[in-house]
Amino acid sequence: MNNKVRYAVIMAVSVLLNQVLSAVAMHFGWPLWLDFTGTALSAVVLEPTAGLLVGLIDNFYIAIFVTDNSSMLYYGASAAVAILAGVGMRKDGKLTLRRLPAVAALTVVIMTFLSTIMTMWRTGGVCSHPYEEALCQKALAHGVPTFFACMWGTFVVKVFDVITVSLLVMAIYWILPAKWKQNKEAAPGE
Amino acid sequence: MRETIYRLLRKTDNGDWISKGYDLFIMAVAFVSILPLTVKPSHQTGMFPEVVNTMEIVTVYILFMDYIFRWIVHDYISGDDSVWAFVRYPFTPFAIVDLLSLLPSIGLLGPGFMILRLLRIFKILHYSKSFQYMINVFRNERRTLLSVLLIALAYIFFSALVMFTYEPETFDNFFHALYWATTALTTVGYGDVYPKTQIGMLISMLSSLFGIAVIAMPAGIVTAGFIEEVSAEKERRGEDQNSEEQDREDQGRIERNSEEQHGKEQDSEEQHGKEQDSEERHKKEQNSEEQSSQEQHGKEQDSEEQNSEERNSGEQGREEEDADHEQ
Repeated sequence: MNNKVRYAVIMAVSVLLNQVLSAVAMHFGWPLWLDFTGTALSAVVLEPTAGLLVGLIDNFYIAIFVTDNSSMLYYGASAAVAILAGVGMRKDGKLTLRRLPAVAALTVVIMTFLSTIMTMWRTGGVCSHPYEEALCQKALAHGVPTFFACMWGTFVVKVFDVITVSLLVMAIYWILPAKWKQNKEAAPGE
Repeated sequence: MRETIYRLLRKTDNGDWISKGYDLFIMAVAFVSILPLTVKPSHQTGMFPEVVNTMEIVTVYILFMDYIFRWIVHDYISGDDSVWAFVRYPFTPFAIVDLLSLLPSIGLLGPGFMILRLLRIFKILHYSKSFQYMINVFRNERRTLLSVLLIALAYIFFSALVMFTYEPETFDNFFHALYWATTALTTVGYGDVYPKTQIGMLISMLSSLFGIAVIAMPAGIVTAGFIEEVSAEKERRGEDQNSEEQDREDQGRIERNSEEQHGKEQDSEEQHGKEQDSEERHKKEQNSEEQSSQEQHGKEQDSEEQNSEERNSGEQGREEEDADHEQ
């Protein structure tokens, strides 16, 4: 299998996955985003740079067709996922499942932090996900400061999000044929 | 994949048309992104704001992608293999300029900072060879230029002070005097502020005559440095061309030598093959001779044996006859 074809197909599928899964999650009202599934998949199957590019293309689409340039800042969260999944899940260049719990935990923490900062800056603490906002409001009702209430709502949803994305990525990786997973060196002329 | 991105981003003046195309594309995007600044807000009516907004989003995002690409391959660009290369990138001068030029468009800075979008002009200049020469000149001549600049500033200050002392009613305050000195000595001369007394006119004439030489010094230094840079680049290109031609000649010579060598080896191999063939033929002939002599020897032996058998049988027959006779 030509390496360029492999990269192009997996990255294209990853971009679609990000969009489709997030639309499905929103449509059914799940407490999930799932908008970084493709990013994580590319980073794991191909390399971290592929995940970074998938996140970039995804953010570009959102900036042009959904929101505006301010969504560019959320690329920080995508980039964090790509680097954590692509680098963290590898040891000596090989994927290792043993690192998944630590990588998942770190992803939850970093994404919660970044998303909270973005939310505070863009909307003053009003979360964009219904579940996040509901949890945030409950925390506010208990007298928690806005920043930490927002962080709490984001954190809970991110835990479910990261667990679901991890399972999805593992399932897709398991389904993928072997020749799609190999990270062999490209032959001269490819 | 990072190597591919690096090949795309690096500045090249060879026949790498993809990299060249990318450079031109980014320059065009940077230029298009600052075009809306040339239109007054009051003139932006009808579909204009929507078009400008879309143009702004697309161009800013492309420039943002370029920023991320450069971050991803900064270890290749800087030649530093360590992870710290990626940590250092956001603090490099061009990265700071790039980010500052993007921040107003993504809403991180207020409307008052929109002017920072003009910094995108550096994106265009970044790929310009002439701009690179200017940067080299300023880097190489920074001490001299700084000294000359200080002298020029001191002279302007002195001229303003003298004029302000003799014509205090011409200027509202000392800043106006400085403004006059600067516009006069740089030969701009707007004419909005000028000396009215004869003493003031005399001071103006003298300071202009001597001031021209002081103000023109930086221009001379920069021009000389620029010409040096261009000459050095031409020499370097000439050397590169010569070395390329030399390399091609050497390569041709090596190939010719190797072909001759190969031809000689082939000839010697053929010769060796022929010798081997003749040896084998000789051996075969020897073998066949030996074989035929062995056969001959065998035949002779057989015939001797036959003769001896015949003799033996003959003798046996005579003995039997003799025995019969005796009986």
